[in-house]
Amino acid sequence: MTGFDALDLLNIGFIVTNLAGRVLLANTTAEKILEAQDGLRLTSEGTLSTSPGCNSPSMESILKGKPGVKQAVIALSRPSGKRPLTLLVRSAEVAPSDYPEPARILVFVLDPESPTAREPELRQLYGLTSAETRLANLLMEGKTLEECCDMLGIRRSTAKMHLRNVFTKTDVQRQGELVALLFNSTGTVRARNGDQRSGWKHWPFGETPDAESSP
Amino acid sequence: MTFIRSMVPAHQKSHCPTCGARDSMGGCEDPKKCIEDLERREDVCLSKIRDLVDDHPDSHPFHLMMAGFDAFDLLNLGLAVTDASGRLLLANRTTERILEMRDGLQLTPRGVLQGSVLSCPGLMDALEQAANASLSEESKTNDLALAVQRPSGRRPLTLFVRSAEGLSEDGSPPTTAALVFILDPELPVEADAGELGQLYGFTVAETRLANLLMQGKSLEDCCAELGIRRPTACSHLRQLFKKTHVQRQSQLVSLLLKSIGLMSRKAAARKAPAAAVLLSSSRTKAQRDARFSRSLHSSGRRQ
Repeated sequence: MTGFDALDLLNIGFIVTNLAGRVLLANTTAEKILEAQDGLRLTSEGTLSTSPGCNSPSMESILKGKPGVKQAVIALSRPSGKRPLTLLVRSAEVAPSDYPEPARILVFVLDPESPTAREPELRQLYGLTSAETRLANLLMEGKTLEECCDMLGIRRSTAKMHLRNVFTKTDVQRQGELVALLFNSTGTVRARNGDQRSGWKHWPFGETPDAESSP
Repeated sequence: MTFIRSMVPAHQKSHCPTCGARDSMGGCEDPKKCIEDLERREDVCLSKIRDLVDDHPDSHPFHLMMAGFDAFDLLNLGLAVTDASGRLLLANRTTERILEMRDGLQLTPRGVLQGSVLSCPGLMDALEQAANASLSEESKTNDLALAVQRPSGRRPLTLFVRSAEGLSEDGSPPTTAALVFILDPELPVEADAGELGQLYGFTVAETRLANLLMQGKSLEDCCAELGIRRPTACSHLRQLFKKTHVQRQSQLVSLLLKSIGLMSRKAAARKAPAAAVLLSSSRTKAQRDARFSRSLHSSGRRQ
């Protein structure tokens, strides 16, 4: 179904739960985050929960929200020590829609540690070469030009030349401007490199990640 | 039944789904048994759908799909569905707003999604290709990214085109459609102080600086825009580094964009509440709803 195919395009995890926290829908990005069981997980009852042992607030209190707050942003610490997940929780009452529907909660999840591989997209959009694309990807990760040279095994003069070309092709003047533009024009789209899995899961049909990951 | 059929990849459709025999090889050995098997499988699937709709009215596919469209509007991302000729079948509010600007992308009187002259020569072909592609696994991986130049000189719109399953009318087999995802890079990234405060404990002044840095501004630009002196900006910046555990400005910008910036793009002006709307004809809202429900219910009923 089109709406679900579209959600599969998002590099942002998207979860719909009912008021009790039972997951009704999760897109692929969210599914991967849930499967990793690092900060956010699914219980055997199919409800959303934070990982045990983290000093995060309980999912119940997160989903319930505070009175009068339509949207809350929460950092979820992770057992692995990776940068916390960002949870944006939108309570049911304000989720705007023309349609009469039961109350539900929209949860967006961002994983700051997920890589930003955008190679085909950047080539198609701006006509970057492979070498320029690799450099642009590293800059999006917050690397300096020196680090890029080391990682790509190229000389500084070569990197500078690539950078000048990228500036010309994307019509920007500075490195910061370039990074902001690349995120704005491609950051929300999930790369779908050879990923054969279905893009969405309607939980009552499928197995929960708990059941899938247990041997 | 649409549901099962849509789960069988196109290139396997000439096989019997139960015993796997090919039509060209003479078909099933025991067609009657295969039909019974298939009916039993369909019944299981049907009863699952019925249980789902009856027991969990809040997880009805229709409502969940609407939640998906809401999600795109909340993120200020445009979403549109067209047929092979580029006729717009479905669009969310963000797409409507982009089309209203008639800056690069517009709708012809006949409802065809079109780039302005010279702005995006490949759009028509891309839509046709995506909508005609069979829904086999191979074609699903062929996403296309397009830049749509804008006459106003603003940064080009980014379009992602992908094949998707179309909306099927009652009884008709599932069709393919082109799914278009529209990004406007000029929408500013702007997390509010409350959000960045909750996430990293930034103060209001630090949030203002963080937002400008996320927009790609240099520290000098930020000083000028905020009306603060450089030492002040530097001290804010040091605080930002400390609170996010990073060492450099480029790391800070990347982290902020990845951890909050991607979902806090602000629309220029917000009008009516966001919701999916059908633009293809002058149907009333009730008719639209009925059509939607019908196309969804047809997937739960044997044809």
